[in-house]
Amino acid sequence: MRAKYPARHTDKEQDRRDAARTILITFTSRGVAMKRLLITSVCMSLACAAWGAQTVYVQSMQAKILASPDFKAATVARVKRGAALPLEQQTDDWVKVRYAGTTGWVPRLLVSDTAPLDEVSLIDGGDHAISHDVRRRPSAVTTGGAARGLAEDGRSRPSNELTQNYSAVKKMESLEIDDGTVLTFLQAGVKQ
Amino acid sequence: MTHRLCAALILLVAIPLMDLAVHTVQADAGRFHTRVSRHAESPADMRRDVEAEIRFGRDVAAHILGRYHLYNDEKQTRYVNLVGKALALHAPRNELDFHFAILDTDSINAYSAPGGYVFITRGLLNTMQDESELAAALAHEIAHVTLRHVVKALNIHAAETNAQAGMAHLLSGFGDPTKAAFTQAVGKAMDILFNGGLSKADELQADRTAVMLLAATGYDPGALSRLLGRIKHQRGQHTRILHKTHPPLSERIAALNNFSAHMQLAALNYPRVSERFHEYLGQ
Repeated sequence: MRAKYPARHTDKEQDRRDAARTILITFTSRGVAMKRLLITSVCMSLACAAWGAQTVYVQSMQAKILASPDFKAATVARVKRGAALPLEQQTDDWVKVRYAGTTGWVPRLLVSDTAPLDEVSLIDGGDHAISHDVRRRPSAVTTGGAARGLAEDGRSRPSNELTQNYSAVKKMESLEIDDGTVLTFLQAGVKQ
Repeated sequence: MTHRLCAALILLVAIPLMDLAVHTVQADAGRFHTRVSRHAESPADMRRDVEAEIRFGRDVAAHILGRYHLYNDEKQTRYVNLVGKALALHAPRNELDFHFAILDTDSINAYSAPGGYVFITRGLLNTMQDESELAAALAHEIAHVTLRHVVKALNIHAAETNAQAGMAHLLSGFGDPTKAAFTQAVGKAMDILFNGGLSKADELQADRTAVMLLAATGYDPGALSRLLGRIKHQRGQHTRILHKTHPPLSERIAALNNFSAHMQLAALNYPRVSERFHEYLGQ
């Protein structure tokens, strides 16, 4: 008569089965752990990516932080150029930011996700035409690509057919007005 | 399977951390650059790009001033600069020093060259009725500069990923090919300004940006729509280039009115500053 129950395995077989069960349990545990780790890492990735893009910097000389996205809204605070503001929310024209324990809205025009650069001026603001003297520093990048890109547009025409007036540019640049004078002028007109 | 999961895990953690590292390094350097792309650049590269933009714009400005004479009225020129610089202080791109000039022509138009060179014609000045309208025209041109519309329209890419860096490499090369490419680029910029114009999208974006800039500075944001409405009724040759290089005025005015309603700007009641305008311009 055949036994109703499986025959008792030999010790060798039992050892083999135990080993297989152990491996299966280990893999199953690893699978769960792996899934958890994967979910955690996805969350970390999203959090890191969000953190990287979450600060905006004031680009204008100053900006008002308003209570709502409306120029008529009450001014919550005034911040200066370069202020780093954590971003909360954004629309096409406004950003909602955190500042000094409160939140408010700034026109998107006035901020950027990069801090402002200091003023850049030309080292040699010479009065000669650049197109007559483009030799500056050697570059590993040849300009063949640029030349090809430009030549693709049949509308382009050489500028040497046109007259240049660098002395007029220099005259235009010679008028300097400091920011204080400009602000006094503005405030006299618009009474900020 | 395990290896794939491990690889995915490493990538998911490593990529944002690398991104984080780039931000941290940039923050330490204390200098950033307004870029459309997130391509990491050194501060020296950023300054090189801006210098190239100014050098290029300066050459375009020299060509504009080869076409039109400067209007040599010191009082009026200073006034235009005061208004323009007041707007520029409230605009992005502090790295640029804006210069404003009046062109001695009856033609009704305004121009800007990359790097911060802004021109307004005597004809357009004569069309205006107050300082907010002057600010509106200048704000539109400042917007073209800050948004780098001409630089982008030139579509210089070379080996670079964006137009500004392409411009920098255009200036960093040497020899006849560079000279030819630069000359072509200036010619193309002049063609954009006087013949082809920028894209309609760029013009409408400059209008919207100008209105926001007017409001941020404290001028009546309705001034641009008013000014365009008045120009629309001008007859004759003086608006020929303006019409040729810009979208139809009725379309621009409609877009501005929609934007103004959406932003609830009509109720602002910001000043037009007409008295000072007439005092300076003697109109």
